[in-house]
Amino acid sequence: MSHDGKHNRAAIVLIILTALFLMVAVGPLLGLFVYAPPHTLLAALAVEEAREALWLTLRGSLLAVGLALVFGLPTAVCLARVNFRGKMLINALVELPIALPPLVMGVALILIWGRKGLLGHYLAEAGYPLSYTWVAVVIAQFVVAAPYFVRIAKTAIEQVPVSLEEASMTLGRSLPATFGLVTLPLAGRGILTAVVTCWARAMSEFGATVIFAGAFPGRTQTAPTAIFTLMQHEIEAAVALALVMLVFSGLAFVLAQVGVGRLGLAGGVA
Amino acid sequence: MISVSLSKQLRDFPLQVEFELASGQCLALVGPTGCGKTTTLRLLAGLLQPDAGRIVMDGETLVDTAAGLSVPAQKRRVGVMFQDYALFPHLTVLGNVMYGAQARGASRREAEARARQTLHRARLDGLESLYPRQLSGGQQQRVALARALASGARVLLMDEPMSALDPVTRRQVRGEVLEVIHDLNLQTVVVTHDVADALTLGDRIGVMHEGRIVQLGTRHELLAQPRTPFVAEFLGVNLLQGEASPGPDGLSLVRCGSHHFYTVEQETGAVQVTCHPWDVTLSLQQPDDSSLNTLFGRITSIAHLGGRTRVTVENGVAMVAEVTHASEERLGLKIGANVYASFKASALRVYK
Repeated sequence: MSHDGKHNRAAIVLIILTALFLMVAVGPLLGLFVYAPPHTLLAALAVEEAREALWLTLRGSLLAVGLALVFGLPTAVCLARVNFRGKMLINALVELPIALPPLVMGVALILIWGRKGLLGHYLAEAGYPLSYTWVAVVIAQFVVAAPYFVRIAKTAIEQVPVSLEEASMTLGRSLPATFGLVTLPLAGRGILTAVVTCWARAMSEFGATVIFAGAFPGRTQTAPTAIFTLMQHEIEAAVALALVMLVFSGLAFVLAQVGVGRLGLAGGVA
Repeated sequence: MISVSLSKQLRDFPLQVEFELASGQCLALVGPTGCGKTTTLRLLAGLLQPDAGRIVMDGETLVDTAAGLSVPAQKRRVGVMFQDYALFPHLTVLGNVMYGAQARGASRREAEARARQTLHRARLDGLESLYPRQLSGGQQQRVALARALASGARVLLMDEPMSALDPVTRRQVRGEVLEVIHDLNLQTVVVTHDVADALTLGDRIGVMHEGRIVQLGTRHELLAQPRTPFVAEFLGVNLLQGEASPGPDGLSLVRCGSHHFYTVEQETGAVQVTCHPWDVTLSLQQPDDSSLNTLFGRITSIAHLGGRTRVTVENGVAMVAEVTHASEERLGLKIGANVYASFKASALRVYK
């Protein structure tokens, strides 16, 4: 009885602390709705500059996620399943951008791919400059967001027991078929989480974008850079745009949950 | 018919195994943890590559390092029952058992028909649409066996097939596994660290020690003539023939010659019983605990093995007890002296 009592008290304290956390960490989002009631969303979307920024953000981030899947999934599989010398180092390098300020990634991108950059000047001379184009937006989003994809996807694949893959092989399936029939379905939930996290990170990308792609309205201005610019003179528009991004991210989150349920993806292997 | 000759450098010693196995035969490789028995199994399955050697199966060369040949795991038609069963958690029982046939080119209909037939034979009817996590340990084990068989395997490899099961299920499963091996006339290699499992499952038993099969022979050969002290010590399990019948208090009674012993396991008819030497205690007086099995007899041998002493007590049947040096001295054990060897009903395991 007294033990139960203590248990309950501990639970109450934890619930209070959780509520505090929500108030401080998530509460400010309420401010967005108070300041800009939902109908201003439409007003924001009526402004062409905002519409273009949103469209570029959506298009760019989806492309960046596509690239992350194409290049990141083999990397994740390699890091999860292949043993080689220096794997720790490679793993650390792959995840390094997560720990770096995106601004640093932006400067690095300019130095390599900029119009006067190490490799970029060849492209510029050939008439295909990268920096300050919409392609630069995608590259910036990819560079910053893809490491999240690799990290989460790798962990998901690692959690599929190797013995299941071995069983599949002894039952007559090749390695690629085994990956498609056993590993992928079992790591599916984790890989979907990786995609959504990567997408959310790509949509919100600011630092590397501003440096490498600039923020030219109608050309390279994304929703986050537009919010930054608009905050300085048109605060209502900035807030409305912020609200739209909140809705986008929320949608991505819900889609991911529905996807997990609908696809019947196995969660973990326990 | 399989003929195997493989070597591979392991961390602490080289693995070097050679054996032949005829159709319908079961080879049990038994040895302590880390002796290389599971590695041998993985080499056979193609999940590991040897440094050197050959594997020939039914006339087809699967591995020949001299010729640079190694058939990949998925083309060997070697069924493996993994220690953790490795059932696909995202597939139903039926899906698991269909997997191999489909992988080898059977249509969905064919694969399903074959899977249902195999499940029926494994007495798993009605479980087709369940997922592995909804099954008991024994059922999971049978599904794993059914899955390996339905894939059209010509050899069955089993890695510690009984280790995850409780004693009662274990015995039942052992019977089923034996039945399957003999019914299908499959060549089977079982890897286990449990001597009793090896002795009852294997037509031939290979005792492994530090990467080598130190002795390969029938159960009788091994028990009667252990070639090295390691084999003697490792196999040192008491094995008696007897006739089982229902006894009092839910126990079974096993008659071995003029003696009778009680066991907690339910069995009738001709049986073999085993008892580990470390489960047998020695005393000079009749133990007053009536639940104990006792054998009053003469000490015919005393052997010192490491920190323990193996004492053989004989009176029509022989029973080996393993005791500490301290109790050897306390009891003043001498060859020719008479002692009581006693063991619990739960220490006596029965094999049909």
